[in-house]
Amino acid sequence: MRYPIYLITILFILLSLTLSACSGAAASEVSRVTPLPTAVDATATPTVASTPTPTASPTLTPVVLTTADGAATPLPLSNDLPEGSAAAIAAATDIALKPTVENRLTFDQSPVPIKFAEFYEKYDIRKGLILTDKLVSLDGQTVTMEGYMAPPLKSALDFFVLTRVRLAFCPFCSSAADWPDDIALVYLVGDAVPVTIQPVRVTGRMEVGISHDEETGMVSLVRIYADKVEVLQ
Amino acid sequence: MSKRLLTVYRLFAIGLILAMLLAVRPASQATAQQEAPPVLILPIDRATFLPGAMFDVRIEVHADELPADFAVTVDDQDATKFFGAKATEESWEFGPEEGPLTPVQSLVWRELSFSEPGDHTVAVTAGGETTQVTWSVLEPQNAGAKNVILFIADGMSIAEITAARMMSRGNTEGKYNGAFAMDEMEEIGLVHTSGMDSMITDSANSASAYNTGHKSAVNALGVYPDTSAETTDDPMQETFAEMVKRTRDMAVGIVTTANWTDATPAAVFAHTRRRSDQNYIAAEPLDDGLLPEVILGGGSRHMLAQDTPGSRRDDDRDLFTEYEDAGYTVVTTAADMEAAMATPPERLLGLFHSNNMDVWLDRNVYTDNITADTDQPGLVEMTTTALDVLNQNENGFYLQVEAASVDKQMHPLDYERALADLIEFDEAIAAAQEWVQANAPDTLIVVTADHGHGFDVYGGVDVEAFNAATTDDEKRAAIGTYADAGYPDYVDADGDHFPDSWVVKRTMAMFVNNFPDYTEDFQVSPVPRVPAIPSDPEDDSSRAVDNPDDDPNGIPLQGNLPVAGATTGVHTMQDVPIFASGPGAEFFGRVMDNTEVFFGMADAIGLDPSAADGLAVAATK
Ligand SMILES: [Zn+2]
Repeated sequence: MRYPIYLITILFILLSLTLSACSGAAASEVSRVTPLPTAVDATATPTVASTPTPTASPTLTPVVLTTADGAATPLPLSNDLPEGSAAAIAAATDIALKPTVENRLTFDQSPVPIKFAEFYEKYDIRKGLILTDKLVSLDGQTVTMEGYMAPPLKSALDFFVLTRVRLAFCPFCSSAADWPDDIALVYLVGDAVPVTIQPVRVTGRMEVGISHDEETGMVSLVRIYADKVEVLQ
Repeated sequence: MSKRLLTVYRLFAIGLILAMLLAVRPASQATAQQEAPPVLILPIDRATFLPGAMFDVRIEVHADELPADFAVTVDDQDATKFFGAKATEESWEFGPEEGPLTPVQSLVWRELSFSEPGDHTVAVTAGGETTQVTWSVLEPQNAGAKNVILFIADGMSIAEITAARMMSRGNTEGKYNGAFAMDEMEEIGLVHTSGMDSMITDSANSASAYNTGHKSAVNALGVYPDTSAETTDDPMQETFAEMVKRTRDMAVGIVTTANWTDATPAAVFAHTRRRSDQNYIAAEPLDDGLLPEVILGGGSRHMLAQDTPGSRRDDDRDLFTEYEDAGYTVVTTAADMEAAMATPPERLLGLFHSNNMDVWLDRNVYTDNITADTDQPGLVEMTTTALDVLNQNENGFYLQVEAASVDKQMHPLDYERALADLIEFDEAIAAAQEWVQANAPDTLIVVTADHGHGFDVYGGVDVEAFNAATTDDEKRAAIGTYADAGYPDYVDADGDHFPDSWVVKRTMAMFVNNFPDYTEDFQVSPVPRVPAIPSDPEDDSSRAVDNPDDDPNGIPLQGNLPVAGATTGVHTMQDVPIFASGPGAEFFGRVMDNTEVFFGMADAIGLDPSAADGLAVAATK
């Protein structure tokens, strides 16, 4: 072989190109905070649609993992930000993002249960997702939601993405993946929680409206500041 | 980080190195001092051009600085003089974050073209060694066609056509009860699909070859891949659509069942190293000024400003409005599209799904699986609509039509969904043939695939016996081979060329030659198929395992793909068929490289971008 060192180097660069080319948004930004990466759905390799395992509606014995008082085991976080500051950044952007409510609904229970299926009326090609009156009316209210933690990069988080179905891929690291629309960003008011593949129930204040933070690249439509995350087994 | 992507890039690396080593390096007369730095010349050796076609040239020298003896010549003349322009010097480093980084000194010339046919040798001397490549500028021909329609069924191989024909037309005593529209075209040939990086291609690389006449690499569109991290600075190859618009003022149309910014449709106009840049691609026609007269497909999420819920953009551009301002009539439903055609608009943008459009089988049979809130047109309506808009241009048109989900459904081994879309693809060809006969007989129609899947049929399955069986051996006994295979019992009583029911007593034993661990029951899946899932849901590169929810009554099959992360089948290497009819069709009746398809289309319409009117001198017909 004529240029052994060169060959190895070019191999490396191409590998690193992969990083920047295929999960660049994730690789560089996730380390700071939790942006929802922009779509990276096309690759050389095939895309399977996102959802391998259909969700059975999560039920059964809740096990409290952590509370606002924080009884969770300290675990490494997935970002470089001090714990809780992701939530603070999100909260700051929420202030500017009050959705307009035309038909405000009132709720006679609190927390109000809401399902992902109740988020959107429909997808309009030009207007995008049309939010339901219920979702919009829940801005600022305490809600409870069930779903799955999207596979994150690290083993514990003070925020995570709640999804309707269990995602078989890590949306941050898979180029074939793309975020579904049925997601909520969950910020833990208390301590970090360990990751689980079991369904979880999240209780806390819901904020609705597109939030994108220039500094962090974070984009979300629905956020929950969770006082409580329970694992449903 | 997904392993399969690593693999893809590893192969790319090997390909690039091969390309560099293949570039001829005559023995050095230099004294044995330090070793000469590696040199990369793009376009590659044996690249072919039309006179007047625009392209960029990039020379890379992988060294801290250009050696003292550095020189670039074309046909022994100084390159600056030959090209009539001074190169822009650029430098960067590439390599892993932790190092070591490789320094690159580069020269780039933009928007060059050759004025006449002939061969040219580009030689780069660096560190006492000379690397050289030869390029050929071909003589334009003219078969007298006015328009070109290029049909691409993504991932369609010959056995898929055979199986779809069996389902659609049926067969009695060994003779088919009817032929596909593509079966009856004038010429048939075979196309090699490999790219410069790898023997196995992807849809970006291959559609790019059809549209530019140049090789590229996996994930790249309309460029030769260089080593810089920037994905939009790679040396550009002008596309067929750009040439016919620039030099002939012809109309251009793009029809697909995928995101219109997906690889195959994007190959008509895009220039990027990274096909997943769909937001960039969606704005490219506006930013580059190549505005196709027709864009029909899915992918509205790349058009919405980031504040719009459901958008995938990362900026505030509202592309629907921008396209409207650029003169497009925008439609979002099949009904709106039909209404808009009462007076065909000059420019038509129709997007009918946030993402890829739903497949024929779900739109027409398993309608619970539909994922859009709008009525979506089928490929046939989109094709004829596009033709009616394009035909308003008296200079002719180029239309590329893609049946995207033959591939997108072949990957998850969802054969009925793939083959139904292949039948729909053939219906679109039939509709185009009819349209051409009535409206524009001087139209070349080319039908091909961009790569295959390792699909075939090896027998017939007695569904009742299969489902009643309690052991795997009994299930396998329900598969008949040779004389016992018989024929499937799909019925098309209503004559629409699609089976009236997809649930039949006797199916075909369909399979592909590469697969993950999964189970197969040889029956239509009422929901889109997911044959395998990662064993660790937190890690998409974990071992792919059988999805227990898919074909639970099937025969378990031990996969033969790499176990890490490969949950679906992959593209294969086989040549793909190419069919052609109309003026210039005879070009395609042979075995050819995928880059030649471009020249076949160019020769049909007499494209000569070096001529003032873009027209080759005389029609040879
Ligand atoms: Zn594919």
